[in-house]
Amino acid sequence: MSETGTNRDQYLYGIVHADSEVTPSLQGVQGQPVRLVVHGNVAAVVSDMDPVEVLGTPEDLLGHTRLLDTLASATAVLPLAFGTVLPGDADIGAEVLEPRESGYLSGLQAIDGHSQYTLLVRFDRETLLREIVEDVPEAAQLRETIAGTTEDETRPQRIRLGEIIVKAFEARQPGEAEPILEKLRTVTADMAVHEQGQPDDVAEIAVLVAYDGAEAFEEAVEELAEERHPRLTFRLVGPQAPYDFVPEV
Amino acid sequence: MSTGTVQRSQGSYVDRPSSSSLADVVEIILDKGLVIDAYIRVSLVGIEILTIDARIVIASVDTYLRFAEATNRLDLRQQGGKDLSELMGGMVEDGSRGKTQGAVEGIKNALTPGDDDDEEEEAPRRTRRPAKQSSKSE
Repeated sequence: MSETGTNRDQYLYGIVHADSEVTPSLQGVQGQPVRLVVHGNVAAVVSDMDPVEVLGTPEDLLGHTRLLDTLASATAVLPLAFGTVLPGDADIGAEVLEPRESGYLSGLQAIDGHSQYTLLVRFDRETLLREIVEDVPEAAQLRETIAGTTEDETRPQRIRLGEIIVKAFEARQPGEAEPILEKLRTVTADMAVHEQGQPDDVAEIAVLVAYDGAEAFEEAVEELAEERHPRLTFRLVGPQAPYDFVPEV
Repeated sequence: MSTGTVQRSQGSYVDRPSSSSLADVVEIILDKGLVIDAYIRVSLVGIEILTIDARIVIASVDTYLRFAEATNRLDLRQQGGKDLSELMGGMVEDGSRGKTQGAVEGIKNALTPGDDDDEEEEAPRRTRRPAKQSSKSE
């Protein structure tokens, strides 16, 4: 019975340097213990899959993320996409690691000594809705028109009001986002701005921050949030594994 | 002063979750990471439903209606400073009076995609194309 000689499918979390260490107590998806498969200068972080359970639940996604975030706090790791599974008889070293070793190594070098954070900045909905109703006479009139009516009774007016509101959010977005990005640029090593998801999003930004720059970065975010309170809300997630800063390999 | 540790004091203006919530994870990382083409990606049980539920097209009638309803439920009278009756030219009182109490709640509900039985208060706000990921399994 060898350590890797099981027939179970293998769940892959990420790629690390060959000399990295994983704590035996680390658990990944499905509560399975995690281990390294080393090949050359790189290693894959893997665990056995439960042969019966279906993979892909919210708990699995959280397990994947928590394991990677924990690893990333101590070592350089390139996260693999959630749900990367290899058949039990696959040779991870030969099939996954060897063909792309140089790409993995340069990717690891690029993120070594850094963590990712994700900053989500949003308009405070209530503040902005008030502001827009005050600024745009048509919005105030439409709001009056739909008051006390059902959606069926005033559907066209509601659609028009919603359109005005959404456009007003959009018109304000760049002016709010730009100075935030500018300031973050001075305290981060790299940035990736995500596409806008909702009308009241100001910006969702993934940043790469050096370990020794974390304090300055967090202070900068705090300052930004304080200056813009209560109009904008700031949510900061991290430190995380560098999900947004993996290379194309 | 601690180094590398966040001050999570009550005085902070930044919302710092101590660990990522499912909504954060779905939004931030679901379609991220290296893809090893040759290998299977799981189908996303549960997560897919959660994400589809939150599917948003910004310039859609559905979005417009949600924001209109949120605006409808806004209680302008709570605001200091401006004379709002003037602004509204005599707003319809009974339309908003009954909703005063739950104004914030109403906005939250109106702006929360899907039905009221959301499992997460902070529903994920973006679709990370789970369908595309599943299709890679072939």
